[in-house]
Amino acid sequence: MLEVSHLTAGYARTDVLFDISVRIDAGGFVGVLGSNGAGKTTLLRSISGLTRVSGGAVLFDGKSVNGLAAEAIVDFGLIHVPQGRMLFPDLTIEENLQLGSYRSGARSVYSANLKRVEHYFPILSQRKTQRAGVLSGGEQQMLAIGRALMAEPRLLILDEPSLGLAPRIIDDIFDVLTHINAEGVTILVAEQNAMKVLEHARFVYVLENGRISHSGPSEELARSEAIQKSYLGLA
Amino acid sequence: MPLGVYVQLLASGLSTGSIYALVGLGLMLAFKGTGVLNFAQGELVTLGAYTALFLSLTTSLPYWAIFILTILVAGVVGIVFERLLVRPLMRAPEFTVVVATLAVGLMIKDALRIAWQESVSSIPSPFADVSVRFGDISINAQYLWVTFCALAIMGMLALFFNNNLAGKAMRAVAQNQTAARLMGIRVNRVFSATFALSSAIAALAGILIAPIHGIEPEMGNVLMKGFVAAVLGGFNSLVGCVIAAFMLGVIETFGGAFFGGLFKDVTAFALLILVLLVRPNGLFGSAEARRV
Ligand SMILES: Nc1ncnc2c1ncn2[C@@H]1O[C@H](COP(=O)(O)OP(=O)(O)OP(=O)(O)O)[C@@H](O)[C@H]1O
Ligand SMILES: [Mg+2]
Repeated sequence: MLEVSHLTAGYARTDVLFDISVRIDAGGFVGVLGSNGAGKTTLLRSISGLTRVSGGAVLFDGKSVNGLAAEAIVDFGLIHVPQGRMLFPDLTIEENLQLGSYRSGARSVYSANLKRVEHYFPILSQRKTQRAGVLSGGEQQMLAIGRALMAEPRLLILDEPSLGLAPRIIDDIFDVLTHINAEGVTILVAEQNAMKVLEHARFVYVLENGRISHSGPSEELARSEAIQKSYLGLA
Repeated sequence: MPLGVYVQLLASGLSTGSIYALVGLGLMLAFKGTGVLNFAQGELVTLGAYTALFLSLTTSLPYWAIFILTILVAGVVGIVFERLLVRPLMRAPEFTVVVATLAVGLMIKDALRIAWQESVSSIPSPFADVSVRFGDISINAQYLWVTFCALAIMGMLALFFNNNLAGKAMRAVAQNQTAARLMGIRVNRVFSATFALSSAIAALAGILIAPIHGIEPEMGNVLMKGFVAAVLGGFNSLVGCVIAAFMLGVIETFGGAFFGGLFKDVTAFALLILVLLVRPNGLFGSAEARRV
């Protein structure tokens, strides 16, 4: 479904990603593991069109999305939940969800998707008319994911959904992601939380200093000494 | 003074306030939508009035046709303004954009002064010579028409921003452009639409004020009053802006009637300073951003 090949990308003067190749098949649940500054956000932003790619290719369903604007890539059903959630703080929860289904392909399935979101995150339906800005961190992350679900994603890419959340909430969120994935939504999640990624994703890429240093099925990586040492805190 | 005079002053004050309200709403709209404080907003009022004047001198169209045509032309002017001036400067420091709009405003003003040698002129309005009678009090219908238009625009904007997906998308763009793009919202189109709307509202103010105060290149100076109203209203709330503008118009009109015309502007700015000393976020604003 998504194929990133030999991608080089970065900001004004410096590239921060080098020769990245990542592949996700339809229905997959793939993780990108990396510590602070490894380049996770830059990778996801390159995929969703927010950051300009300087080399290599990003193919979605075999078609190149290089050079397309982020707002156009959304129309393919490639939906990005950015780091820091980026909600619309002065809009209500309901309005945030409505804007999730702004893209033309999602409007006709608004009610079905709203049901789905309220099923996964009942707290959102109880607080519909409140401003998104007053939500707690965990609730905001739920709303960010809910808003993305409203867009009828085919591929959902999430940037550190566990950031700053309590372990119990992180568990809930990854459980929901697993359910969504079982419903047929392909998922790519970037995380520092190695434990969660290795537990839920089926295939994981490890990003270090802008390069892929390891990759493989989760069970395999979880057994690797290098990964245990640097990411799981095991000696 | 007899009661009738008070009522007439009130009506006149409300209509003056309505013009301030329209200018303030246009300013707020552009600022909220794009972060640009448009110091040429006053000249967009002037341009609207001159467009209507031009149409009424060169065609035999009725008032309503001129009214609608002028607003459509103003929408296009807004789009051109955004394309040529605002968008190229989007990444420049805020002051650069402010100064650029100020410069364009001055250019428009002077260009009109050069091109239009006639002094004050006006456009005919079907309301200007009509009086509405309430008992033995009669009020010029143009005052009521102006006030009605300001209230109608406020109501339409409130509906648009709170109940329409395009309006919500505009608010979303104002709050987080990156997130808006990730929803598939075409930010550039929203910017164009914002300026089209803002310019159309300015032109409406121009058409409405023309029969009362006449058309001349300086009429854009009403910008300051609109700005004061928007700030008094908290710069965030449509209703706040309109109420503040009404207060301003009424206080000014009564001040002018009792103490003489020179007193008018003093009242406006004294009111601004007083209110802001007591309530730094305006009469209707709060420290955190509010819904419209
Ligand atoms: N807007 C930017 N301009 C210039 N350099 C940037 C920008 N954003 C990130 N970088 C640099 O790119 C590198 C990768 O950053 P990135 O945000 O992709 O890392 P990350 O893996 O997402 O980190 P984190 O876990 O802290 O979110 C870092 O060295 C960072 O300093
Ligand atoms: Mg990051």
